[in-house]
Amino acid sequence: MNIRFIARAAGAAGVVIASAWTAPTLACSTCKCGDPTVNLFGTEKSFSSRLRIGFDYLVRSETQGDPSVNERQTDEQRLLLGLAYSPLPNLSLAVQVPYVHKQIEDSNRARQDADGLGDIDLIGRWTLLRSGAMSGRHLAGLRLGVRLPTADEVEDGDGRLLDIDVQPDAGATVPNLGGWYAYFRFPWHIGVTATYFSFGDGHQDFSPGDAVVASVLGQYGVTTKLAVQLGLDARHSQKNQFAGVDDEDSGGTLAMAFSGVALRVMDELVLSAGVQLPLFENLNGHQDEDAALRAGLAYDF
Amino acid sequence: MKTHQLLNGALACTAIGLLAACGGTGSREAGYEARVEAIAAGAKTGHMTASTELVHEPKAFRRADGLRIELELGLINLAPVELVACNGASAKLDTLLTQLSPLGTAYAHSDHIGTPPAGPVDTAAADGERFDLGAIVAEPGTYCGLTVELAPEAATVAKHGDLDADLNGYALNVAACYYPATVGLSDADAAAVTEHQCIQTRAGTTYRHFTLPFAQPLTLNEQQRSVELTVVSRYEEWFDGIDMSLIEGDAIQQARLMDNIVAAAHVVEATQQNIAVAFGLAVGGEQALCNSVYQGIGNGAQQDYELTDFRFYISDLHLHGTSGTAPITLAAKANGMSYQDEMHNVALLGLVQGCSTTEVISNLSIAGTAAAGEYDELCFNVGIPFELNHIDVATAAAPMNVTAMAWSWLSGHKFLRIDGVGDADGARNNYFLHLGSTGCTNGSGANGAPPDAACYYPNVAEVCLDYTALKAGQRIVADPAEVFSESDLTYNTDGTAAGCMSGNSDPECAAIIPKLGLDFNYAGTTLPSEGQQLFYVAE
Repeated sequence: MNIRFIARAAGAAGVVIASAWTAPTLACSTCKCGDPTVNLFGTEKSFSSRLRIGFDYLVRSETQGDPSVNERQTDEQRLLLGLAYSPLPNLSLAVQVPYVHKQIEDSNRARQDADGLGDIDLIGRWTLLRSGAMSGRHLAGLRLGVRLPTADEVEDGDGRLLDIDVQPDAGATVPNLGGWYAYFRFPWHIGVTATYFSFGDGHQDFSPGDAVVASVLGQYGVTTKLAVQLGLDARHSQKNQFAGVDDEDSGGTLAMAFSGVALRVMDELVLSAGVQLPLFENLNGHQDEDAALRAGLAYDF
Repeated sequence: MKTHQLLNGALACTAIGLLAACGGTGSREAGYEARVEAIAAGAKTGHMTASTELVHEPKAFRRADGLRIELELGLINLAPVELVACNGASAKLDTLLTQLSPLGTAYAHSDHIGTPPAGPVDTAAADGERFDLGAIVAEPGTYCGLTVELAPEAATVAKHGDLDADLNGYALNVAACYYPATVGLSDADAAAVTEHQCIQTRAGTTYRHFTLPFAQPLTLNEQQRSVELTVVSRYEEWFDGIDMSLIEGDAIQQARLMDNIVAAAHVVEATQQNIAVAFGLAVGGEQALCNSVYQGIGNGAQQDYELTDFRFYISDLHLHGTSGTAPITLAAKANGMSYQDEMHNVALLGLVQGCSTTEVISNLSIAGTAAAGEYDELCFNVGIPFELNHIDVATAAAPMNVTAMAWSWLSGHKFLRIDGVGDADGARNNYFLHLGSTGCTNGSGANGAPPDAACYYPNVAEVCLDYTALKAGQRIVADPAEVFSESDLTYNTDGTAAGCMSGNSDPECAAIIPKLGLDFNYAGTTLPSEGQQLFYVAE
């Protein structure tokens, strides 16, 4: 008996199409939009022997899949524990450990929840250009990193592996390479990063699509303690694959506007918070990204 | 997940070393869904044997007018669409309409999740072979029906001999052979006919939605998150009223075929079982046919009896056994010979249009559902429930609107009508058996009004038969030979109705009605029931 699946295209009334069945795997482990290290590396110029610990908290949600077939809502809370150290004035090294809670809910109200360790990022940032007075008004350099496949593979209470969609991370090795630029002229600061992520194979035959993530963040210091931030985060990624089959509801281009504030409480402690709002979506298939919330804490030793 | 819990977990991870893996925790909660399968089911009307061998043994049966048909291919592309809430709203109408535009309402619910459907339903496969139609998304609620659609499709199945088994953009692909000369013949004579024609046609280029009601409301809640439903396609009813010689090129005939397919479907919930029972008509053990003459009927060895009508109502069907009593819910039929409401069901069986028509139509099967369980008896009443019996036949629902089976508003219907002629080759004595309620009054005696109380003699007999044998494929045979065994069919008492029409002063009824399983008050004397002798179970 031939296998076939009758799916209905949401925008084509009355049209039923037959196509090869694919499991509704819509994993979005690559969907983060923006530079997750912006708080850890800070908006300040790095200096030798700086040791910083950072906590970043991200709340986001999205919907993927055809509402009439396999729609799936993902809610994610991600806590990034980061440690950054600058052994040299022009070199900063950082590690970020994500701890993730995810919940997915399908259109039939099936739910899965998972908590666990995500894929750990190791990042190095080099300053290759310093231009301008003092320690430099224009700084630029490269960033090189690798994401390690450390993510837990979470099971339910019966010992069955949960869907890849709800796993804390993809469990893929992801070398990444990018560049950065920063402009310093108090009360203004502008930071730009762009990074290319090359994803390897992850858990459960899931292969995230390669992605380019870019961020522009502008900051205006209202006082020496308080700054307001405006930014633009963008991501362009290829389609994910599951068992070698493209997930038609993945990949594409997304841009989000960011608005937030940063507050220096003591000389060593910086608090920040902001919200990301979808500005431009050219995503493949059925995808809808909701607003995201970011909050951060950084402490310099 | 509270933030501080997240923080605690994260700090715990940090505490044992940033790179050490913390075992994640997870949970899973099943969704709400209805899994839908389909089966083909026949009541094996006519007990025909297929004459050819293909991938599947063709389904051989006789349609309502007696035409012998062998169904060689019966692909229907059936897709579940939605569960219909009992309040009339669609399960997800409100939420989905806000997301979907400009889709029509029905299309907003084609939620196929989980494993894929296996392919078109192949009704030429063995009865009971299950075809997976996939699953539909649901939400908590109470549902009273399943909407399905006949959907154009390009899928194919295994080759059926030399037949093209592709749907090729249609919802239906049917191939059948029919035997034109078999109308009006007995099953034995029809089986001997060899001259036949074969047709193959596709139909259904547009989506066709229809809703199949549940026998009982179905509830999805935290405790009951998924249900299994089986759509039953009664292929024996597909070709009723179809001009087989025109069907390959006639859109009207093809549309009628699609109508029949829609009408010949019902749905069975997982807690229920499908009911498909065939009936047969006989006189003295021989198949009952209009205007046929039967020897040795009645109390005289040489009595010839010509049959001129044979039809009867049965009602309130139920199963009985170790699982208790389970009412049967009758499925609707395209011929209107099946009625079901919240309290009662009624079916008109036999030669439902009598023998006076140019085309004799029979209804010899019932279909429906009942609670699953262990049952060894199928029971029914011969008759119509009081509430449905004494109604205006002009406005009554089918099949209570058959005027030939009605006496009057006051007296109600003939429950059983077996008309014939005794001494068919000689005196030709009309001998009619009409069973119905008597002793019905409404104060005025006017026939144009219902009785004001229950009739004194309802004359509704209960019949219970071996369900195990029926489930195994045997059928219920109605044969009046035993009922007439003490009657002289060549004689009628002057001044009384011809034969027996249930009159309490009619001497012909004294020998008949007790054999229908009824006590009979004859001229002030109660003649006890002798047990019903009209129905039996046979091959």
